[in-house]
This record gives sequence, structure tokens and C-alpha cells, in this order.
Amino acid sequence: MIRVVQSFILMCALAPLTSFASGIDLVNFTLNPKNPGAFEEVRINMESFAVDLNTANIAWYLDREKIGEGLAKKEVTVRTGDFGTFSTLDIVIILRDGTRMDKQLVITPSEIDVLWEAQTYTPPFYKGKALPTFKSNVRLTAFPRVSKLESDPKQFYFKWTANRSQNIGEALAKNSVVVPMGFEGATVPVTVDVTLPGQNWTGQRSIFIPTQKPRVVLYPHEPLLGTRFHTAWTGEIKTSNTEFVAYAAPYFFSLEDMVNNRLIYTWEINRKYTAPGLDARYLTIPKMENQTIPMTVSFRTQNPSRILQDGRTQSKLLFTE
Amino acid sequence: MPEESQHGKMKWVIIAIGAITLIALSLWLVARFAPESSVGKQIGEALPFGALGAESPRSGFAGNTDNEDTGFFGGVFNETTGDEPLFRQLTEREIAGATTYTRDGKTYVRYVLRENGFIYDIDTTTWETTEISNTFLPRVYEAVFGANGNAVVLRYLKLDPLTRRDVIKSFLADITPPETGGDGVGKLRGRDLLDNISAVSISPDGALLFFLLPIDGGVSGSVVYLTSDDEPREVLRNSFSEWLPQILNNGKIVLTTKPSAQIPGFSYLYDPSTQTLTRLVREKNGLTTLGNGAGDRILFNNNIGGNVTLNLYASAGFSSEEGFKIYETSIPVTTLPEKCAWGVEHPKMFYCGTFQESSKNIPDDWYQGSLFLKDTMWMVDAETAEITLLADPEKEVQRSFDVFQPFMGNGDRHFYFVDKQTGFLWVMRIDRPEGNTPALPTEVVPPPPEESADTAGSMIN
Repeated sequence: MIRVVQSFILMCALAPLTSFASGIDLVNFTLNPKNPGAFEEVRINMESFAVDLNTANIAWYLDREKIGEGLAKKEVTVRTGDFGTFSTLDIVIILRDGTRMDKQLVITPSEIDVLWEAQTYTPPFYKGKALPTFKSNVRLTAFPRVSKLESDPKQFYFKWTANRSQNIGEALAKNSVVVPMGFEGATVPVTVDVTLPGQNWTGQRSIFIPTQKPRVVLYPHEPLLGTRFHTAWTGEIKTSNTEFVAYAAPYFFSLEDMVNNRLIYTWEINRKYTAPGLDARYLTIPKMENQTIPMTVSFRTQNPSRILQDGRTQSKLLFTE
Repeated sequence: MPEESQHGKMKWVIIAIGAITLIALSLWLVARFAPESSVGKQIGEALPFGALGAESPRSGFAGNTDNEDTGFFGGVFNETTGDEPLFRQLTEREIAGATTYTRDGKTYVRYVLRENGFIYDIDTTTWETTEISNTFLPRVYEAVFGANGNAVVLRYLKLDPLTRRDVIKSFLADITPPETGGDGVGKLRGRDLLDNISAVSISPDGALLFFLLPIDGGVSGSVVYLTSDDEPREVLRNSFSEWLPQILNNGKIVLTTKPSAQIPGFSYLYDPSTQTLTRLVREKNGLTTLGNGAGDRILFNNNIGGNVTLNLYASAGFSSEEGFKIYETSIPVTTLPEKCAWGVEHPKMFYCGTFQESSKNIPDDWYQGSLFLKDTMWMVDAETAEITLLADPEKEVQRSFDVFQPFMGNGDRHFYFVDKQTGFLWVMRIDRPEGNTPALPTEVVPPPPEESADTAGSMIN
């Protein structure tokens, strides 16, 4: 779901005795993933538009141990160490004319976690995640880690971009921003560029936040027990009581609209509008005499402020003797 | 003459009543004590309520049937040996939370009734129930115990009359038990914590309470020492608020992002002394976690295309086949960490209800109450990853359980859990020989037992 598009190499240093210093910058290295974490395999490629690597003899050394050599060997895969360690990669390139080029890469495990939380409603005690829906807001928080498992966001400079080009904030220690979502089914791409002031380190991470559909779930509400959030009212319920109280829980509607009582609740029994009580989330259904087939109870929630936030559900109820 | 006639009639009436009573008694005795005899079966079939002594086709079952709120109250007994039942139903009403504690060398189960907040103790040797507190608090949704069962946080909802919004109340109370030998009941004395606390956690040793409170721009986390009267001390401020916390015995806190099946989750260890977040597990879909008391082993799940796999994180690491040190390993069972409990007596073991269902929307649907799971019970050795089938309730007692809020007791010989569908508290017996070695041989592949068995120990040869 989340795609990593990161680019950085921690340190990139010239070997002190290179015979072709001006050619060094003409060889580019790419890491995949570009921001490897601890104990992660990373593929390293080299390319050049200035020298012919296809005819060069290339030797790779990881922490002074040769891990590969050959004609046009432009790629190796290495595994990073633990946080707090670094891997030194020495590359010796002998061109066809005998020219020698030396390159050194130091790879330090680093990670950027981007966490997000939708500003949408979930019922009390719900342990699941609030999901983003049409035009709802999402708050993102970044936790970068460089060379250690711990994260201290105050040390880092953050630059946030939404929808690929929209700058939504940048500052030292600004590891959190709010982003509005779009239409249901679409995703909002968010990228954070992270730098560590005073050090030659940059990191980037992109994620895609999916916009989902709101949901409405009905629950039985019992006078003694309260709302039975563990047991949703789905399908058909039979009851021998003289009345049945239903509670409608809207999931993932914008929190600010929910808090300000902007949502519209509509109950129907057998497709006929039924007025709820003072709190429209509850509907008390009295026993109907001579009922032989289950009644259909429908519920719909709409958010007029964000018109496509709309959820509905229905269940069946049969009073038995 | 008329008097003599009256006497004669009376005599015949008495004889007739006596004869009918005798016949009825004989039939009842045959039906009751010889139900399997042909006469007994015929009598049983003739009776409108079925054969006596054969309560249902579910042989040996004395617990609640599925989806029935009214029913028997007791255990599922081993008929052949008369041993302690494999499964025993401990409550006939919904509970809000439970724990075990030890007093005078005996283990008790303490639980809170959801409907009124009353607290009860169950003696696990006699299984008798005693009322501990009748302090009335209706509709308790969550109860979390600490301080060896002597402190409890009761969580309930209250409607704000002005805003018409639900307010989550959290009442932290000390439990004053009834005096020994007295007839009265104990009391709850405590104080309200702040409104709308989003999550609470009590350390496995019961000494520390941690809670999260949403604030502008993030969340605040505070610790309460349950053995003192000190005010809550704030130890965490974070711009991200959607955490599920678990406080450990050492005061560190496992913070895991709230899960959704299709969304990658992250888990961190927060150290209040250094105020740093240390990464534990990252980018697992539908991630939830359960750490042991020390926090060096953490169970976590990952929903991969609808298959919910259980995994183990160990801070000491494992050696991989390639010779690298890795920190995560998979456990070949399908479950969520909240369906598991770490052993207390045997801390390297954990016990889980595991399910077969696959769904691309676990745990969301399970949390929302629109999906129920049918669990089999397994024991896992965290050091060797060996897994052992303990019981398949559907095969052994012909009913299903959706394990919820599990915990261990009685030297890990009892696995307590709430059946999520009914809200009732149950206990499963775990057979062990003396010593630390698990009683049961291990199986890596989880085939359900083909032959019916009454006890966990007898299932495996």
C-alpha cells in the first residue's frame, strides 16, 4: 500500500588516491530501496554516461571483503547491518584503457515512518482505526530514524508535499501536517522530505492515503447492558421482548461534523419513515401484534457538509410470542 | 348410608391417585436412571420434553448453547473420568472484565458484571461465587484490574445533556472486600479520572496504570501508581494520537497504531525516562500487538491478503538460516494477539484461540461486531515456536467460542476468556505434568483431532 520512494546515501566519499579524480562524479549509484533499514537487502546499481562501464572490470568490496568482480558487473546486492552499524562499500573500476576509478559508499540503516490518522468518528471504545472518507482531514506524522532505532523528530527538518506539487508546510521539527482528502476510491499522495541539519543526510518518503466509504452499523441496545458493540445487528434478529431498541453507529464520518451535530439520521421501518426519539441514533421499536414476517429496519446517515459522506444499512426484526 | 357411600368413593379415589403416582414414579425412575434402555427410550420419546438425563444431543454439554442468553451454568464435564471439566462456564451474565489473583495460597477469579458494576470472586477450588462489591455502576463497558485484583478501572458512557454527546467516564477504584466471616459485602472507593480517556492499560504485575487522553494537536499519556494515592503523572506528549498502549512492568510502554486490515501499522517502545520512541514492528497490515510483562517478546499479526498470520518479535533476536540476526519470526497459527495470553508461571509459553476464517477485513469487522470467529485453543513455545493443540471446542463440546480478553491463572493450568458473542466468562483446563515441561506432545501441523476426546490430555497419544 505504502510505496517507498526515497533517495539518499548517507556518505559518499572519494578514495584519497584516485587516478582519475575528475571521472568520479561521472559514475552514479542508485540504491533500491533508496533508504534501507536494518538487516535489509539493498541492490546497488551504477551507471555512467561519460565512461564505458560495459567494457570495464568492476570489483566490489563490502567492509574490505570482495563480494563480486567481473566485466561490466554493475550491480550487487548487500545486506545492511543493525542500527548503529554501517556498511562500507568500496568499488574499483578499471576501464578498458587501464584507467582506475575508486568509489566508496557508506550505507547506514535509516527509516522514515509516516503515520496518519483520519479525523473521522468511530464509536466509543472502538479499537480499530478511523478511516479517511470524502473530504475528511487526515493528520500525518513522520518518525525518521537514522543509525539508531530511536527517533527524535525535533532534530530533523521536514518538507511536506501533497498531490505531488502542493507544499503543505516545512520547518525544523515540523513532523506533523494535516491534509484534506478527495473523492471516495481515490488516493492522496503525500511526500515528506527529511534532512538532518549539519549532516550530509537526506531522506524522502511517499505514501498514498486511500479514501474510503463511510459505514453504518446497527447494534442492539439493552436497558441494562447498554449498546452491545461486540454484537452487531446484521441479518435477522428474533426477540420475544415487547420492544427492541436499535442503536446506529456511524463510522468514519468527519469528526467535526459529528461533534457539531450536523449529521442527518433517517430511520425507516418497512420503507416508511419512522421518527426516532430525542437522540436520533436510537430507535425504539414496539412489538407489533400478529406479526408473521420480519420487519425491515433501515437506517441512513448523511453529512450535508460533505455530501458524499453517506452510509446506509438495513436489518430484519421479528417479534415472537 | 350416605356416609358409608362417601367413604367408599373416597377410598377408591385415594387408591386411584396412589396407583397413578406409583406408575408415574416408576416411569420417571426408568427414564431417569436407565435412559438408554429400550423402555427408557420409549418413555423418553413419549414425554413431551424428551428423555430425562439426556439434556441434549450434545453429550456431556452443560454450558450455554450458541446464541442463547439463557441456559445452564456450570461446566462441560468429562463423563468418563469425572475429572474437572475441560470447559467451565463461570458467569451466566455478561462481564466487563476479569482477572485472577492469589490470596492465602488460593487462586480466585475476580470479575465485574457489565450491567451493574457489581464485583464477584470465584474460588477456583470450589468454583463458588462470592459477591465482593455491590457498588452500583450501570452499563460498564470495560473493566481493567490491577494491584493483585484490589484496584479496578471501570469505564462507562454518560450522555452530556448539553451537547448530546457520549462522554467516556473512567472510575479508578480500590476494592474493599467484605470482612472475613461477615455477611456484608465490600465497597468501591475511588475517583473519576479525566473524561474521554481513549485507552487504558495496566502493567502485567498490576502496579502501573497508563492512560491516553486526546488533546489539541495530539495525545497526552499519564501514569498512575496503583499502590499509592499520587496524582497521574504525564509522561508522554505526541502529535500522533491513535495509539493502543500496553504498559510493561518496567514502566516502558508499547504503543501500537490502531489497526485496519488494509493499512500498514507500526509499533514502538516508548521510554518515559528518555522520551524516545524505539521502533519494534513496522508496516504490517492490521497490526495489533501483545507484549509479555518484560516486553522482550511481542506477539503481532499481519493481514496478508485476508490471511491473518501471527508473528513473534524478540528483542534478543533469532538466528536466520542465512546466518543473519533477525528479530521477527512467524508462528504457524492464524489469530490476533488479543486472542492470546502470555504464561505467568511459564513465561516463554503463550496460549491462543486461533481461527480458520480468512477475511480481508480482519480485525475491523471483528471489532465492529459484524464478524464472529470460531476458535480452537493452542499453546505455543516462544523459544522453539513449537505449537500444541489444546482443544477444539466444536469437536469436544459441540459449541464454538470467540476468544476475547484471555488471561492465565492457577500456574497456567487455566486459560480464562470471555466468549465475545455472549459476553460470558469461561475457563479451559490445561493439563500439565509436574514441572515446567508442557504435558502435551507438539504438532507443527494443526490437524484437528479426528476422534472425540473429553480431555485435552487425552487427545494426543
